Amino acid sequence: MKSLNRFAEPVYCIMRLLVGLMFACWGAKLILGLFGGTPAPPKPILILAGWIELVGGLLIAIGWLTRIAAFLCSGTMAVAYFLVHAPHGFFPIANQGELAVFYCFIFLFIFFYGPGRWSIDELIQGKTSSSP
Amino acid sequence: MNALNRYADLVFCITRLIVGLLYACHGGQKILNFPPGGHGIPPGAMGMIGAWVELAGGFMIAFGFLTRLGAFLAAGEMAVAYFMVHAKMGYFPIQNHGEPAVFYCWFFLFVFFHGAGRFSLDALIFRKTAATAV
Repeated sequence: MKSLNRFAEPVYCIMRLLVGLMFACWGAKLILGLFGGTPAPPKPILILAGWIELVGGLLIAIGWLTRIAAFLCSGTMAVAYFLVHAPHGFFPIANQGELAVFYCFIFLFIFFYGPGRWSIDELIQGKTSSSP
Repeated sequence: MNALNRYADLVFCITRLIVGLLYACHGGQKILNFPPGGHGIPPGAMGMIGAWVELAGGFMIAFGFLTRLGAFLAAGEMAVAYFMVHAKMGYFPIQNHGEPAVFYCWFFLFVFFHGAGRFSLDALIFRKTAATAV
Protein backbone atom coordinates (compact mmCIF):
# COMPACT_ATOMS: atom_id res chain seq x y z
CA MET A 1 0.00 0.00 0.00
CA LYS A 2 2.96 2.27 0.50
CA SER A 3 3.30 2.84 -3.22
CA LEU A 4 0.10 4.90 -2.98
CA ASN A 5 1.95 7.45 -0.86
CA ARG A 6 3.89 8.48 -3.93
CA PHE A 7 0.75 10.17 -5.20
CA ALA A 8 -0.19 11.78 -1.90
CA GLU A 9 1.43 15.11 -2.82
CA PRO A 10 -0.34 15.66 -6.17
CA VAL A 11 -3.68 14.70 -4.59
CA TYR A 12 -2.96 17.04 -1.69
CA CYS A 13 -2.32 19.82 -4.20
CA ILE A 14 -5.62 19.21 -6.01
CA MET A 15 -7.52 19.00 -2.72
CA ARG A 16 -5.96 22.28 -1.54
CA LEU A 17 -6.89 23.89 -4.84
CA LEU A 18 -10.53 22.78 -4.77
CA VAL A 19 -11.07 23.49 -1.08
CA GLY A 20 -9.45 26.91 -1.43
CA LEU A 21 -11.55 27.83 -4.45
CA MET A 22 -14.80 26.67 -2.85
CA PHE A 23 -13.90 28.71 0.23
CA ALA A 24 -13.18 31.76 -1.93
CA CYS A 25 -16.67 31.37 -3.44
CA TRP A 26 -18.16 32.21 -0.03
CA GLY A 27 -16.06 35.36 0.10
CA ALA A 28 -17.10 36.26 -3.45
CA LYS A 29 -20.71 35.79 -2.42
CA LEU A 30 -20.35 38.18 0.53
CA ILE A 31 -18.06 40.80 -1.00
CA LEU A 32 -18.64 40.74 -4.74
CA GLY A 33 -22.28 39.65 -4.71
CA LEU A 34 -21.65 36.67 -6.97
CA PHE A 35 -23.52 33.33 -6.73
CA GLY A 36 -26.76 35.01 -5.70
CA GLY A 37 -25.17 37.40 -3.24
CA THR A 38 -26.56 38.13 0.21
CA PRO A 39 -30.12 39.30 0.90
CA ALA A 40 -29.09 42.27 3.09
CA PRO A 41 -25.95 44.42 3.16
CA PRO A 42 -23.50 42.51 5.37
CA LYS A 43 -22.48 43.68 8.84
CA PRO A 44 -18.85 44.81 9.45
CA ILE A 45 -17.87 41.44 10.96
CA LEU A 46 -19.22 39.71 7.86
CA ILE A 47 -17.27 42.04 5.58
CA LEU A 48 -14.09 41.13 7.46
CA ALA A 49 -14.98 37.44 7.22
CA GLY A 50 -15.77 37.86 3.53
CA TRP A 51 -12.37 39.35 2.75
CA ILE A 52 -10.59 36.62 4.72
CA GLU A 53 -12.60 34.00 2.83
CA LEU A 54 -11.98 35.53 -0.58
CA VAL A 55 -8.28 36.35 -0.23
CA GLY A 56 -7.42 33.46 2.09
CA GLY A 57 -9.23 30.96 -0.10
CA LEU A 58 -7.35 32.07 -3.21
CA LEU A 59 -4.01 32.10 -1.38
CA ILE A 60 -4.59 28.55 -0.13
CA ALA A 61 -5.72 27.44 -3.59
CA ILE A 62 -2.52 28.56 -5.28
CA GLY A 63 -0.37 27.72 -2.26
CA TRP A 64 1.04 31.18 -1.63
CA LEU A 65 1.65 32.19 2.02
CA THR A 66 -0.30 29.03 2.67
CA ARG A 67 0.26 28.63 6.39
CA ILE A 68 -0.64 32.20 7.31
CA ALA A 69 -3.76 32.12 5.15
CA ALA A 70 -4.78 28.71 6.49
CA PHE A 71 -4.37 29.88 10.09
CA LEU A 72 -6.57 32.93 9.51
CA CYS A 73 -9.22 30.97 7.60
CA SER A 74 -9.31 28.24 10.23
CA GLY A 75 -9.83 30.83 12.97
CA THR A 76 -12.55 32.56 10.96
CA MET A 77 -14.44 29.31 10.54
CA ALA A 78 -14.13 28.45 14.24
CA VAL A 79 -15.66 31.84 15.11
CA ALA A 80 -18.36 31.35 12.47
CA TYR A 81 -19.26 27.95 13.87
CA PHE A 82 -19.61 29.06 17.48
CA LEU A 83 -21.19 32.42 16.71
CA VAL A 84 -23.66 31.37 14.03
CA HIS A 85 -24.21 27.61 14.06
CA ALA A 86 -23.64 26.31 17.59
CA PRO A 87 -26.76 28.01 19.05
CA HIS A 88 -28.95 26.09 16.58
CA GLY A 89 -28.23 22.61 17.88
CA PHE A 90 -25.60 20.15 19.01
CA PHE A 91 -24.99 18.12 15.85
CA PRO A 92 -23.21 19.89 12.98
CA ILE A 93 -25.40 17.99 10.53
CA ALA A 94 -28.49 19.53 12.15
CA ASN A 95 -27.29 23.09 12.84
CA GLN A 96 -26.02 23.65 9.27
CA GLY A 97 -22.48 24.05 10.56
CA GLU A 98 -21.04 21.00 8.82
CA LEU A 99 -19.12 23.03 6.26
CA ALA A 100 -17.75 25.37 8.91
CA VAL A 101 -16.39 22.39 10.84
CA PHE A 102 -14.88 20.98 7.64
CA TYR A 103 -13.16 24.16 6.65
CA CYS A 104 -11.93 24.80 10.16
CA PHE A 105 -10.24 21.42 10.47
CA ILE A 106 -8.96 21.12 6.93
CA PHE A 107 -7.30 24.52 7.20
CA LEU A 108 -5.88 23.59 10.59
CA PHE A 109 -4.40 20.51 8.94
CA ILE A 110 -3.04 22.63 6.08
CA PHE A 111 -1.52 25.04 8.63
CA PHE A 112 0.45 22.18 10.16
CA TYR A 113 1.12 20.16 7.01
CA GLY A 114 2.33 23.10 4.94
CA PRO A 115 1.82 23.98 1.29
CA GLY A 116 3.22 20.70 0.04
CA ARG A 117 5.60 20.17 -2.82
CA TRP A 118 3.36 21.58 -5.55
CA SER A 119 2.72 25.19 -4.57
CA ILE A 120 3.87 28.76 -5.13
CA ASP A 121 5.52 28.76 -1.69
CA GLU A 122 7.64 25.83 -2.75
CA LEU A 123 8.61 27.55 -5.99
CA ILE A 124 9.66 30.70 -4.14
CA GLN A 125 11.42 29.21 -1.15
CA GLY A 126 12.75 26.00 -2.59
CA LYS A 127 14.04 24.01 0.32
CA THR A 128 12.58 25.60 3.43
CA SER A 129 8.85 25.07 2.97
CA SER A 130 8.74 21.52 1.67
CA SER A 131 6.73 19.08 3.73
CA PRO A 132 8.28 15.80 4.81
CA MET B 1 7.93 27.07 9.84
CA ASN B 2 9.02 23.48 9.46
CA ALA B 3 8.69 22.95 13.21
CA LEU B 4 4.93 22.88 12.66
CA ASN B 5 5.28 19.73 10.59
CA ARG B 6 6.11 17.81 13.75
CA TYR B 7 2.45 18.07 14.72
CA ALA B 8 1.04 17.45 11.25
CA ASP B 9 0.35 13.76 11.92
CA LEU B 10 -1.49 14.51 15.15
CA VAL B 11 -3.65 17.17 13.50
CA PHE B 12 -4.27 14.81 10.58
CA CYS B 13 -5.59 12.25 13.06
CA ILE B 14 -7.98 14.81 14.60
CA THR B 15 -9.15 16.00 11.17
CA ARG B 16 -9.70 12.42 10.03
CA LEU B 17 -11.70 11.70 13.20
CA ILE B 18 -13.94 14.78 12.86
CA VAL B 19 -14.54 14.43 9.11
CA GLY B 20 -15.12 10.68 9.43
CA LEU B 21 -17.67 11.15 12.21
CA LEU B 22 -19.46 13.93 10.30
CA TYR B 23 -19.65 11.58 7.35
CA ALA B 24 -20.97 8.74 9.49
CA CYS B 25 -23.71 11.13 10.69
CA HIS B 26 -25.13 11.14 7.14
CA GLY B 27 -25.34 7.37 7.13
CA GLY B 28 -26.63 7.38 10.70
CA GLN B 29 -29.44 9.76 9.79
CA LYS B 30 -30.53 7.43 7.03
CA ILE B 31 -30.21 4.07 8.75
CA LEU B 32 -30.48 4.67 12.51
CA ASN B 33 -32.45 7.91 12.45
CA PHE B 34 -29.69 9.36 14.61
CA PRO B 35 -28.75 12.26 14.72
CA PRO B 36 -32.42 13.29 14.46
CA GLY B 37 -33.73 15.13 11.41
CA GLY B 38 -33.05 12.60 8.64
CA HIS B 39 -35.35 11.59 5.82
CA GLY B 40 -34.84 7.83 5.99
CA ILE B 41 -33.09 5.61 3.46
CA PRO B 42 -33.37 6.86 -0.12
CA PRO B 43 -35.28 4.49 -2.42
CA GLY B 44 -33.53 1.80 -4.44
CA ALA B 45 -30.47 -0.35 -3.99
CA MET B 46 -28.12 2.59 -4.54
CA GLY B 47 -29.61 4.52 -1.67
CA MET B 48 -29.18 1.53 0.62
CA ILE B 49 -25.58 0.93 -0.45
CA GLY B 50 -24.79 4.62 -0.13
CA ALA B 51 -26.21 4.83 3.38
CA TRP B 52 -24.16 1.84 4.56
CA VAL B 53 -20.98 3.12 2.92
CA GLU B 54 -21.50 6.42 4.70
CA LEU B 55 -22.08 4.83 8.09
CA ALA B 56 -19.43 2.10 7.98
CA GLY B 57 -16.91 4.02 5.89
CA GLY B 58 -17.21 7.06 8.12
CA PHE B 59 -16.39 5.06 11.24
CA MET B 60 -13.55 3.20 9.50
CA ILE B 61 -11.98 6.51 8.50
CA ALA B 62 -12.65 8.10 11.88
CA PHE B 63 -10.87 5.39 13.84
CA GLY B 64 -8.31 4.63 11.18
CA PHE B 65 -9.34 0.99 10.75
CA LEU B 66 -8.81 -0.31 7.19
CA THR B 67 -8.59 3.37 6.39
CA ARG B 68 -7.57 3.21 2.76
CA LEU B 69 -10.34 0.79 1.87
CA GLY B 70 -12.98 2.88 3.64
CA ALA B 71 -11.66 6.10 2.14
CA PHE B 72 -11.64 4.68 -1.39
CA LEU B 73 -15.26 3.50 -1.14
CA ALA B 74 -16.39 6.74 0.48
CA ALA B 75 -14.63 8.95 -2.08
CA GLY B 76 -16.16 6.95 -4.92
CA GLU B 77 -19.61 7.17 -3.41
CA MET B 78 -19.33 10.94 -3.03
CA ALA B 79 -18.21 11.33 -6.65
CA VAL B 80 -21.31 9.39 -7.74
CA ALA B 81 -23.50 11.44 -5.41
CA TYR B 82 -22.12 14.68 -6.80
CA PHE B 83 -22.64 13.82 -10.44
CA MET B 84 -25.97 12.04 -10.00
CA VAL B 85 -27.63 14.45 -7.60
CA HIS B 86 -25.90 17.80 -7.47
CA ALA B 87 -24.33 18.41 -10.87
CA LYS B 88 -27.78 18.73 -12.46
CA MET B 89 -28.74 21.56 -10.13
CA GLY B 90 -26.09 24.02 -11.28
CA TYR B 91 -22.46 24.47 -12.22
CA PHE B 92 -20.93 25.87 -9.04
CA PRO B 93 -20.81 23.64 -5.94
CA ILE B 94 -21.81 26.60 -3.78
CA GLN B 95 -25.08 26.85 -5.71
CA ASN B 96 -25.97 23.21 -6.33
CA HIS B 97 -25.54 22.21 -2.65
CA GLY B 98 -22.80 19.80 -3.65
CA GLU B 99 -20.08 21.49 -1.62
CA PRO B 100 -19.98 18.84 1.13
CA ALA B 101 -19.91 16.12 -1.53
CA VAL B 102 -16.90 17.68 -3.27
CA PHE B 103 -15.22 18.20 0.05
CA TYR B 104 -15.75 14.62 1.25
CA CYS B 105 -14.72 13.22 -2.10
CA TRP B 106 -11.37 15.00 -2.24
CA PHE B 107 -10.54 14.73 1.42
CA PHE B 108 -11.14 10.96 1.33
CA LEU B 109 -9.14 10.67 -1.85
CA PHE B 110 -6.27 12.36 -0.03
CA VAL B 111 -6.76 9.98 2.91
CA PHE B 112 -6.67 7.07 0.46
CA PHE B 113 -3.29 8.16 -0.85
CA HIS B 114 -1.82 9.51 2.36
CA GLY B 115 -2.81 6.57 4.55
CA ALA B 116 -4.08 6.54 8.11
CA GLY B 117 -1.04 8.13 9.68
CA ARG B 118 0.71 7.20 12.89
CA PHE B 119 -2.26 7.64 15.23
CA SER B 120 -4.71 5.04 13.98
CA LEU B 121 -5.87 1.48 14.55
CA ASP B 122 -4.16 0.48 11.30
CA ALA B 123 -0.82 1.66 12.66
CA LEU B 124 -1.43 -0.31 15.87
CA ILE B 125 -2.45 -3.50 14.06
CA PHE B 126 -0.15 -3.56 11.06
CA ARG B 127 2.74 -1.78 12.74
CA LYS B 128 5.13 -1.97 9.83
CA THR B 129 3.03 -2.00 6.70
CA ALA B 130 0.37 0.66 7.25
CA ALA B 131 2.31 3.45 8.93
CA THR B 132 2.85 6.25 6.48
CA ALA B 133 6.29 7.42 5.58
CA VAL B 134 6.81 10.64 7.54
